[in-house]
Amino acid sequence: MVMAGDAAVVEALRRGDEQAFAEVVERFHPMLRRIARGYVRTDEAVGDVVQETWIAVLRGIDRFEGRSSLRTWVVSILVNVARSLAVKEARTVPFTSLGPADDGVAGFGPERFQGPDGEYPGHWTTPPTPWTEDPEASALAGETRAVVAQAVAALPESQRAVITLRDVDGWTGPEVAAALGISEGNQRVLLHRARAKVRLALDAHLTAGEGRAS
Amino acid sequence: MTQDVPEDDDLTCTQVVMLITDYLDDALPTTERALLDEHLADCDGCSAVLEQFRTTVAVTGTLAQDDVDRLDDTTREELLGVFRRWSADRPPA
Repeated sequence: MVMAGDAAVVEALRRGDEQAFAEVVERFHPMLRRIARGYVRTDEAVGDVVQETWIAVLRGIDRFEGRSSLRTWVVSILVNVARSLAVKEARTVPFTSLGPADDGVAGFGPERFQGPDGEYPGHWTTPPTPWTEDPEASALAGETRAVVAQAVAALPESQRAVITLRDVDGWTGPEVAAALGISEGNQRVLLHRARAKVRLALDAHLTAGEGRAS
Repeated sequence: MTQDVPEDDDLTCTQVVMLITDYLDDALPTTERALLDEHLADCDGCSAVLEQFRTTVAVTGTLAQDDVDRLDDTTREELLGVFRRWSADRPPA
């Protein structure tokens, strides 16, 4: 999806328009840092990834053809930069692999479902109940956000990149798939696993003291 | 036929839980979506999970409000420096 104005911004960058660069940096910066954090450990390395990304963007600006949106293209460059830096830090797994399936069913342990000998196999033994507290309510919001931030930070890098772009930055599935170089189906698998873990963390937080996770 | 007895083509709760992101993305074929809607209408447990996923997405969205990743003045100047060097090295069009 090409954003309105992308072509004008790219044209301005090619002309050496510093104001256009300042604006696009301002717009993309928080998102680029959020994504970079999934790949490298330190704040310093995150800063390096972002700076290297802008250098690569400028060097490649004449090759940008507008087949994707500018932000998709910039993020795909960032992911390459971040991954090569992460390789140097020797802490990366192949991005295209989905990784091992996680335990349980989207965060619910196998004991939550009836086995093949149950009355209704595959149905709940103890059904979850709705959260009684609204995690978005103002009194809880700061605390809840910290729980979610921690859960997102603990995700494997591929899941973290997908949930960040989809649910924090509001990208569409196809756009995320294009930026990360994965299929839309794999993008959704990664998103589901990521959301399942964040849901689990929220559930533990919201039901603490109630004796049982929903 | 009573409502509570699962039929052959009904989805199980495990299947529904695995399909929630596909459902929220509207990525399911029509038939499967209909089966899932039918299941949700009768299953409080799966409805609760769907609602919890929606809430999870909403709360995750609020992470954008955190300002730890906002552009600071030092970084802005460094990046503008990158741009100026790049621009100066560029052959005139």
